[in-house]
Amino acid sequence: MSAEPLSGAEIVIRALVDQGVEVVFGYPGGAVLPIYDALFKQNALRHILVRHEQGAVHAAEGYARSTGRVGVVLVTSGPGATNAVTGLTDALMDSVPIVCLTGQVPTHLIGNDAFQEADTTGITRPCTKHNYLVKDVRELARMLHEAFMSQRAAGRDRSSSICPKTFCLRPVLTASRSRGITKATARSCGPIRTGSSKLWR
Amino acid sequence: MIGAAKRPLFYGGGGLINSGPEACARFAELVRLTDAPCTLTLMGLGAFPAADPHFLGMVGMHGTYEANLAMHDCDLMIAVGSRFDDRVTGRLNAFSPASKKIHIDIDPSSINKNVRVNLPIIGDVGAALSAILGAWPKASHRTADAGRAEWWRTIDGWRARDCLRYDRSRLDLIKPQYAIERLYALTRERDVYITTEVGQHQMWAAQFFKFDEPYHWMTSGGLGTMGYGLPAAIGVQIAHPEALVVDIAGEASILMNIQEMSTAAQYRLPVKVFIINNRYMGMVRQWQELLHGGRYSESYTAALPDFVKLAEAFGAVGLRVEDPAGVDAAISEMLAVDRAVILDVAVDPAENCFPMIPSGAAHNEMLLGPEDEAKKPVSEEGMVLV
Amino acid sequence: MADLERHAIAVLVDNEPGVLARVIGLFSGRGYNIESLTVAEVDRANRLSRITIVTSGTRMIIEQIKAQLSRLVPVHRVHDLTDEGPFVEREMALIKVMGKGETRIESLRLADIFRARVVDSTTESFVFEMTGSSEKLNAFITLMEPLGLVEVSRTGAVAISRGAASF
Repeated sequence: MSAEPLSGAEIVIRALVDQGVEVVFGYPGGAVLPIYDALFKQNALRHILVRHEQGAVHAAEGYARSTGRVGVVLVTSGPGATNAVTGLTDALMDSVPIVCLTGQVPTHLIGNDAFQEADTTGITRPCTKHNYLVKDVRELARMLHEAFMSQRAAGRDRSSSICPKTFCLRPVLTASRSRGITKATARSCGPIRTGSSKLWR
Repeated sequence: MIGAAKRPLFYGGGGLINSGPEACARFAELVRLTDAPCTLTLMGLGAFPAADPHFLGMVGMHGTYEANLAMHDCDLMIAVGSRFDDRVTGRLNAFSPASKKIHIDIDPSSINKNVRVNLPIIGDVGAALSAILGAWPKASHRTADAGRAEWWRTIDGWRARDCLRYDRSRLDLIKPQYAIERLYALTRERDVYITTEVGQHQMWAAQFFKFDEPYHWMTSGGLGTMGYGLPAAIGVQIAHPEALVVDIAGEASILMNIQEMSTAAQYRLPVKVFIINNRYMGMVRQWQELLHGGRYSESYTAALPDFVKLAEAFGAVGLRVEDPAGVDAAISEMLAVDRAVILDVAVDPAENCFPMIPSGAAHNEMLLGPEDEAKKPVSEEGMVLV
Repeated sequence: MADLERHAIAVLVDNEPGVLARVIGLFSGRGYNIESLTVAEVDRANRLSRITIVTSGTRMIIEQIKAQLSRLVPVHRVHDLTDEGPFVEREMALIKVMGKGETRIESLRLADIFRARVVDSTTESFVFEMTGSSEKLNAFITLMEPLGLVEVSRTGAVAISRGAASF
């Protein structure tokens, strides 16, 4: 496998495709422009542009509930994420499997009341089964795959109702990552179900 | 326990849908094998075929008379993938007082959360049902038990009440139940998926639109989010491009995410928005009528747009019908065109959703309608208020 | 009315940002009571922390709390020490008492009886450090009240099961 550097945005696309995702419902914004750029350059993943982020989550719910698959949402930071809260809470209450990726301002700006910044992790904590703040691009692939495993596995193992998760990711353009590592992460998540300790390390 | 019960009842919920069509098939198998009656929650509709005579209809606040009384009077309740939500149980201290309860759920925190159960089974419902089916004695003749026949007789007596009947005599007004019945009738040839918004129309949709398989009914149950139906319909249409997808909406709910008509236009999604337009936030108004002396505070949807023009503004087809005689034609037109459609159905604004268990009441304290003249059925306890 | 039970629950969690917030959010979001809560890292190699929560509620609520905690992704194990057999419970407090003359002498005498240590003293104040069961701490603090108690800082209970079996 040739080691080609992948940006964080490309990792997102690759991980989603590896998870068998075919459609993403979303709305662009500054914090997620790199991901939208990566989306533009590929054909494997289809993006449905909604008109309000709440609509994106409900559309993902309709998709999930009519197929049994996981619904995927992509929204930007700040108001994009907060607009998604109603949909996430809805999915939590009805046990609909959703993975929601939300953009976030660059790490050095977090906590400075930056443009379109919000404490997404704090705001979405009560309305998700779990959420992740990705601060290091090396964690990105693992966390994405973990989120999917948990949403899929939830119905099959101890104690978890199927509920949505949020991700906050900061846009990282320059980190490099080899393709092989993304695949390896997927493999290592394979046999793991909802055992949380193993999923974190 | 199931074999020994004289008046068993299966109570299935959203957990069956989440587990998948296999689990639903096992559930159906077990219900038929035991010849027991079965009811489903709002989130569980479609897990068991509505056409099957074992199905009593939806249970809960706006569930059927027979389903609610069966739940109240059963001696064994088998809860499968359902969580004893307050919309289903009514007043907890009067909930199914004489029954033993089995509860199959994947989530341990749902067990004994609201209602004490006798036999919890923690696990995926599909797996649990397979295990039960596997263990069921092959040559079981319990289904011919005389006690079970009497239970069915009682249930048939309740069914005779025809709790979902409504006034069909008006020629000048469309009854909302009629609109939904006709929608159901005219979509039998199609692979149809239904989403809803939240309110009276949602309850009528659950009562009058029958589902025989899972994954065709999308509604916001736990949170009850107005504005869910249109974007959800879009998601469903994306997943099933060849299918017929209808959002049964109220005129207040549809305004909450109306901007998604633009999404439908962009991707040429032929979603059908079927607006049950009674000019009020119907469910709120119904409660205000019952509890607040008819003081309709802020529940009138003033300044409604012309939905036909609104549809056309979004590049969709706009239709409106106000006359019962025109309902079939309007629905047929909506179904015939391969484009997004908003069909605005003007219905009787005074119609309330029955049966209804008012909150704080028990299953045997249902309100059946504004006029109730049927005789009291056999083995009924408690009052039935009119 | 069902009886209220007091339980000490130990929760083993990932030592990650946000985990404590999620656990506390669970309690506040569902209206469960937190009488006291302590948390610290207990396993550096595996990045695990132990949260000890003392809570009270009916039996059904206690079972709910444990089930809800178990569902959280970063939670590894939930251990109801009150239910699972004999356990040791200890709390530490720093107690500041101001006084002169008789009250000062009396406070020192009581501290000696309770085996509290003096960790700070001035001519008009003491700070006592005391470790023991929560009841013992409560008793001592009550006794200090008429003797010039001005400030108390408590850790909340930590607890561990007796015997060789480990969590």
